[in-house]
Amino acid sequence: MKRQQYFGQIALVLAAALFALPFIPLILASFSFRWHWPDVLPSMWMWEARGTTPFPVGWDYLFSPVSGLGPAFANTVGIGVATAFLATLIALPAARVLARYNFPGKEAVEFFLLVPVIVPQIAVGIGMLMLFIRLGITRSYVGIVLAHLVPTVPYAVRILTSSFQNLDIAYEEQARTLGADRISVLRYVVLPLIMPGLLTALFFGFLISSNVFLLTFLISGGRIETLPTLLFQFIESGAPLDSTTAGLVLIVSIPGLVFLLLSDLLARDGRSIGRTPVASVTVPQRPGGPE
Amino acid sequence: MNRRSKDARAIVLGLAPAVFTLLLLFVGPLLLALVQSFGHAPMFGVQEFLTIRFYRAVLGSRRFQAALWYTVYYALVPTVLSTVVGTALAVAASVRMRGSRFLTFFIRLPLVVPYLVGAALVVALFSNGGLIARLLYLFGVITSTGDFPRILFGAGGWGIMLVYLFKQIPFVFIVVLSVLAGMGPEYREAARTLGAGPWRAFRHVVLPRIMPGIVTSSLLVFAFNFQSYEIPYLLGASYPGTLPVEALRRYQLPNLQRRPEAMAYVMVITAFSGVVLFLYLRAYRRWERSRGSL
Repeated sequence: MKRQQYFGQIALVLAAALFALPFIPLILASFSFRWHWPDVLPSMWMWEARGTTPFPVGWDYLFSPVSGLGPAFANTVGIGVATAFLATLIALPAARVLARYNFPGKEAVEFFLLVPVIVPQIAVGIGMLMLFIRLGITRSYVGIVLAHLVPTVPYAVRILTSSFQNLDIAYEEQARTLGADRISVLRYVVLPLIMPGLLTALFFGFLISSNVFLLTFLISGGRIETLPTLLFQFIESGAPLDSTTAGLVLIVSIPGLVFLLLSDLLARDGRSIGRTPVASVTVPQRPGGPE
Repeated sequence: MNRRSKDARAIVLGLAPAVFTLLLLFVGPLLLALVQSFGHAPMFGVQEFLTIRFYRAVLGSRRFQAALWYTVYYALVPTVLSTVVGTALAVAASVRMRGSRFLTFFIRLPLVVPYLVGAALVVALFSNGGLIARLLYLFGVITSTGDFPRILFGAGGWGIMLVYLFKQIPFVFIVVLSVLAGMGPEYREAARTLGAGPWRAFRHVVLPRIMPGIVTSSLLVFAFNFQSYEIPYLLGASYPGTLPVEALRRYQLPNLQRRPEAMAYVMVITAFSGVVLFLYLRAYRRWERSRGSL
């Protein structure tokens, strides 16, 4: 048993190193000015180069208006917040029904509300583009947020259904018998009890939305950039260990990093947000999840 | 009766927003692509519903056949590898020990960043001028960038598969780990106390219980890989692209009258992944039943 544990620990340390280490050269690259073949470390850093070129370098470039990072960041956050709230709002009543009622065809409804996660996004995306052209909402924020609902609503339904399942209906009934009206029951009983699930659904919706590439790429027609579409362009045109791509990669990773830290912090608090919900759902995006 | 009709109303009203949203934004687009693939696309000057000419053009082309083969290959290899490695890591992590929370933080990190971040990392490390090539040069293993094996942009698809592994080993890991956490250590410990070796305890006690998690996660991983666009576009060979890459190429052809070919492509992608997932689930159910009858 002891020996087994030992091997397990070594495997975990190795895996953690393999997944974390690749970020280190990117951090170095983001501060580099010159990092030519075959140097293993940058030969010139951005602060050494600052006076020598008329153009902003590295982080200076990223934070200058030319890079397009500012609007992409704002778009990502704005679209993410809108998507998260809408998806949660849409999923909430459905989750309550799925957790509370039994009815004929329930399994079919559950399946229908999950299947967008598995159906190829390219198929949904191209069809959606046709639809949105007819509706005149391509290249608009409305179009992009609507597109992002497809990968986010299924997760929100799943997360919220499980949190309604954990909420004993007896609490509500008790509050009602004690004379609370519907609004008060919702406000003082239901809402506080499903808050962790609600927060998880919101965070998760934001995270998925901020990771979606293909749907944004198709619907925005290049007019509205988000962090993933900007990163796509940088990778397409940049060299390996290029400083601006490296910097952008680190910025694009921020929402995920914050999500992970928050969920760990709350898990330590003993609240239910975090581990299980994150575990029971994907990105995908894909996955999509997860993207 | 009154109570029942009240319930029915609550059920319909509750489900309506989510169902309606997905009908409009998910079913609608798929149906639109479907009718266009069968020749109803007046937008592009194609009005010959119901024809299978676009499917014929797509399915009969060498390009499609090559794309199909590569798409399956790029999807399957990472699915198998990440399922095995992710499960093994989860089993290793399920034994409580100091610092495991800290370690799993790093393993969960790839899960929450976009696939494109994985692509950038793979480019930085594995391209011919990348960091690994430089390290090999430093140690005298290679003498120029040309000596480094072509990992990216080749038909071998190693770059694509590395990105998938980077994202998906953590995914399988976290799903299986959560199943293991729900199960608790008691079963395994009981099996060990009763004299089962570590492998037997895993094979006969732990594995059957985590099987649903393994099946779900590998299914989602395969479904994702099969339809992914940006990673094969950025890191794959220029010919043949994967099915999604070829689909979008068809869509972007200047000749609008050929756009239904793109629709045929995406319909084939959808149908194919649907069939694969169905067969996989059926095989799993059968396995489960055979186990139950033992």
